[in-house]
Amino acid sequence: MSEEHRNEPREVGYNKDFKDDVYKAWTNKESNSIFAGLTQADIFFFAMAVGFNRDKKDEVKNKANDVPVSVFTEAKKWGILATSISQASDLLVLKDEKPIYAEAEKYAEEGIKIIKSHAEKQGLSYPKYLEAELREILEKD
Amino acid sequence: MRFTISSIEIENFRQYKDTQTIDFPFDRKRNVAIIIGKNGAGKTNLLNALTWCFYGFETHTDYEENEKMPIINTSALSALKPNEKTAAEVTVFLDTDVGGWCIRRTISGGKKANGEVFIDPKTKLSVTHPLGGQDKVETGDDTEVLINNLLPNDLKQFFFMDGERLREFFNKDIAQNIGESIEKVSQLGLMYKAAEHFESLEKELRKNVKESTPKLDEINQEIQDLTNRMESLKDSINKNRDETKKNHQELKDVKDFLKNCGIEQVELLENERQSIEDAIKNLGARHHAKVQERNRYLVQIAPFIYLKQPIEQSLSLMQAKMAKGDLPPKIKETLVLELIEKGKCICGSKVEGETKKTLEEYSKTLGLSEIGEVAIVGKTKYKDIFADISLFTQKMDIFHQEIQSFEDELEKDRRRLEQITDELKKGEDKEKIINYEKRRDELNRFIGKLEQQVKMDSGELEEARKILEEKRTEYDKELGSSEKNKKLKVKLELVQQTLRTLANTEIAIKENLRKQIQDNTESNFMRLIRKKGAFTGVIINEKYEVTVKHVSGYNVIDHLSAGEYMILGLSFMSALMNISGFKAPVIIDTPLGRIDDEHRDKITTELPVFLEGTQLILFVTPTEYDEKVRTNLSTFIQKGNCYKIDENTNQNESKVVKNV
Repeated sequence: MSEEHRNEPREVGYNKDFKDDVYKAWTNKESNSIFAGLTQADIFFFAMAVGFNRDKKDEVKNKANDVPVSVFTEAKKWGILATSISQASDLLVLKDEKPIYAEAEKYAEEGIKIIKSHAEKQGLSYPKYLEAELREILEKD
Repeated sequence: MRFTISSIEIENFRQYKDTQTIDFPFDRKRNVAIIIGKNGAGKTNLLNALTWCFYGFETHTDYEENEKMPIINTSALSALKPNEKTAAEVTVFLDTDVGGWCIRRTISGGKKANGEVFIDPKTKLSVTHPLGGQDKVETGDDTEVLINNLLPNDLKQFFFMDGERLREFFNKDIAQNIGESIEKVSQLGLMYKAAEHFESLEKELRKNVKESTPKLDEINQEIQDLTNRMESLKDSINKNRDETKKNHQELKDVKDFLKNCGIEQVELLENERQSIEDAIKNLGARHHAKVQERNRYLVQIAPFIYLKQPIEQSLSLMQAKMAKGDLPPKIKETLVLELIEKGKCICGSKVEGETKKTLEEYSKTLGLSEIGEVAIVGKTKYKDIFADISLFTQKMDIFHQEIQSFEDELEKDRRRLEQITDELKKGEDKEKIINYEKRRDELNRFIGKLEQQVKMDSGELEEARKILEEKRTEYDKELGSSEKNKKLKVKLELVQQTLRTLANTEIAIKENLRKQIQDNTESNFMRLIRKKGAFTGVIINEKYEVTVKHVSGYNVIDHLSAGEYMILGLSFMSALMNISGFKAPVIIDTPLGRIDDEHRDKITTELPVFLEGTQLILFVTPTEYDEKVRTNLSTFIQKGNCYKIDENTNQNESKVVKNV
């Protein structure tokens, strides 16, 4: 029996327009962005979680397969897998992870749009807004 | 280019009346020359004579004195009759790889008919250098270019050093100028020229379109407009950068004046302000780093909190399966399926009938077996994630406390700065101080505004570059649709490919240069520094801002001792010489003035060896040049390479004579 993931894709992708347009500005180390100095994988995972949390997903347009799945930590991989396990209420979805990541791409597509709009609206206060939202989620439980 | 100073001739320059010549014989190993002079005797003005001759201004002078005293010797001016003229002149003779150079700068002055003294506002500069087997005399605009190629203005502080102003070596405000100068001395200009050539070739090629279309004309016009806009942005950026540089220089002069104005209270307050400004910079950087650390944490933990519910459900599912005994699986599904398919067990018994039926039923319950191990890993991960999430509130509270504490300290320092400004305006000689304070505020505002403008223009330029690239691709696509233009398209593609290669090469060279200078500076610094265990390294970023890493992890650039600054400055200068291939003499005024005994010993024994082959001229006070220093340096000084400055009885004129 193996601890290896089953049929895990080599890469995941997201909107190429976003990569050319926003990604560089967001991750620029000199910027005041909350993502300064972070990677595409960090942003993908963040966006996927936001999209899933809002239950918003869409087909990825102009897709660029740029994020190797190998760069995700095990915790992040299991975060992505949890979305499918919980929806199917069945661990058997783990037998083929490719469709799970394909769904994650769709959530990330919408998640990025949501983050972009929040970041534009909140400006430098975005971390404060994000923290408040996270505290609210935790308090609800 | 390599050069050494073979001789300096000064005439009527400040306290040096008439003509005086100082020769500097040079030998690779006996590379040190000494000029001894008491404080105020004229050591700094000899250094000023050099910078003035090279660049037309004195960097090592008191701001106020600079305004009052003419460069031309005052006795020489007083001795003039009405309508008579005189001049101050400094001539520096150099030995270079390609032969002798002579740099001469003159300023005229005299007395008008009414006896009033006047000084010509313009200086005359001439450079004589060998060209094509002959000596060529340049007197026009090219003279400054020639001197800047020899030793760029922005790098001069690392070669013509003022031991009393060591802390300004690595001021962030001048870091950018250093970067630009390093590019100049590293011959990157050749790359820029090649790029310019290919850009104009591209323009020419576009004019040769055989068969134009309205679409092509339209895009071409857009390309033209964009190119013009980019040119104007580049001009504006360069102009504003030059202006910023000038304002920084003036701001530095204003600060120096306040620090050395002779009014004790003002000097104390200005020094306090300087240390508070340094502390604010440091605190600001730490505050920024902490905010970034908090942001990184938020971005890392947020997805798990957003996914808390599905993670909880997945974990519950796993735990339920474990409780039921489905996890970990006892038998592998493939093993049972294989058994049914083969119809025979390893013990030899046949699998058929009721046995086969039972096994088929059983295999249906074994779906999880293939993913059993990986699911158990998942369960552990989910538990770890919950442990991390549970610390969220606590961690965020700690971040807030730390950030708040930085903000409180910053606020306290800022308030103190305001108080200092108020106190300065109330003290002795307040009118004058208020004027300097006003100028200081103005300059800070100008600099802020100019830097903002440069930032905006640079952003727009970057944007225009992207659009231009898109328009060019669009143009080339359109061009390719016409048979007659196909050949032209191929040529254009080749030129564009070359331009891209040049741009990539430029980036690679710049990065390589920076890395080499960083590594070289670090290795020199670690070799010369006394407290080797206290520092872990030197970092020079792409903006040429220098960081000295302490073992504790902090950047201690603002907290180095005078000796450590001197060593850092020398290490950087030596790295520049090694990497860029140019070699200039190193002249240090009061090198040992503020240096502790141990570093003093280290500098005087190791520096001449460390800089072997580089001319080293030291301007020292008799106190600095004590018995120990003299003994240490004796093996590196050629006979006749030690001078002293004698003052006249009124102490208003000086002469440089051999120190026998």
